[in-house]
Amino acid sequence: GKAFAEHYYRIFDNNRSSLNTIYQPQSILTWEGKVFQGQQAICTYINELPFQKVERKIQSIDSQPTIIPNFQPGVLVTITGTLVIDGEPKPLKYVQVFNLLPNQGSYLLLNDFFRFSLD
Amino acid sequence: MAESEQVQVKLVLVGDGGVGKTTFVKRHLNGEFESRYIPTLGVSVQPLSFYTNFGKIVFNVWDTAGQEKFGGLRDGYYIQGQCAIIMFDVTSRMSYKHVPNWYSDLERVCENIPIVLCGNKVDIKDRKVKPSQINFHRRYNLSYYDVSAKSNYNFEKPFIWLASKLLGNKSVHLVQQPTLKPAEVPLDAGLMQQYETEVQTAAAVPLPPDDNEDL
Repeated sequence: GKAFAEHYYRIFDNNRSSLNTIYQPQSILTWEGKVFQGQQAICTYINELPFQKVERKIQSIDSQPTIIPNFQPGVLVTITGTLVIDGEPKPLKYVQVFNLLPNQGSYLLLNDFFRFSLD
Repeated sequence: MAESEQVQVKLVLVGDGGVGKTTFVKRHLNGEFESRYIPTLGVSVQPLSFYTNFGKIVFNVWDTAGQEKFGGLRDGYYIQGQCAIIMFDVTSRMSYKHVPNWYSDLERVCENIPIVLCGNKVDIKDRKVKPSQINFHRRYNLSYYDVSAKSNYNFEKPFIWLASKLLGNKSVHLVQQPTLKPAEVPLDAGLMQQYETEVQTAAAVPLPPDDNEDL
């Protein structure tokens, strides 16, 4: 879980256009309440977000195996942290959840939820 | 209203990321000094005071921490807004093209509050959105001002217009200029005069028939 989250953020924060290596046709993203289905819809939305750079501080990464009998376990990951967008001196808290499915010795990102923790 | 009374209003500042909203509000020195960040909302509130012939009016200007660039601006930002500034960048056609989206978000939550449209960065020579192309405000009864945050050009104008609307169309003028940061860029006075003439000329031209302004 931790390794995946770090890998995901490395790409998201430095090279968003390569997120198509992470999202797959089965992936679903809920971003601030808006739902996007499939690699193309998700990557287009994220790539068009008009921020230039983001500085991220991770506060917690918690993971659990998702165990279903007769299937290989997946991983459920929840992350909390803060984002500084385009050098604004004001950090924004956020929460993200990843649901990872085992896939040919690696993991596939099936579900992704992102929310700022704002009132 | 007696001289000693003061009015406090919530002003919602919106517009695309990078158009200069934060730079604009920070020009007002006392406002920046008293600004406070509310982390639970992701908003900074800067109280900008203006001394008018109707007393002191304080615009509590709400500015985001950039969440609009991350798809994360919530209705809570707009709720109880009493007036608004929609800002775009005259060197970015895209930022003008998005003005109707900001307007409809504002109207959806705030309904019929006075709104000023401001085209920022008019100090930059390579202006892309010309006064003759700026029509949106005329369709919806907003006011419009060219501004340049970095040179303080027209800084107080949007606030005076909003004050006038909020006080019931009274004729408002400042009795004391606000203290602003020193200008960071020089202004071409002749060019500003030309822009003002163009803004006035544009206001006299009949509106084109549809909303799809050709940019």
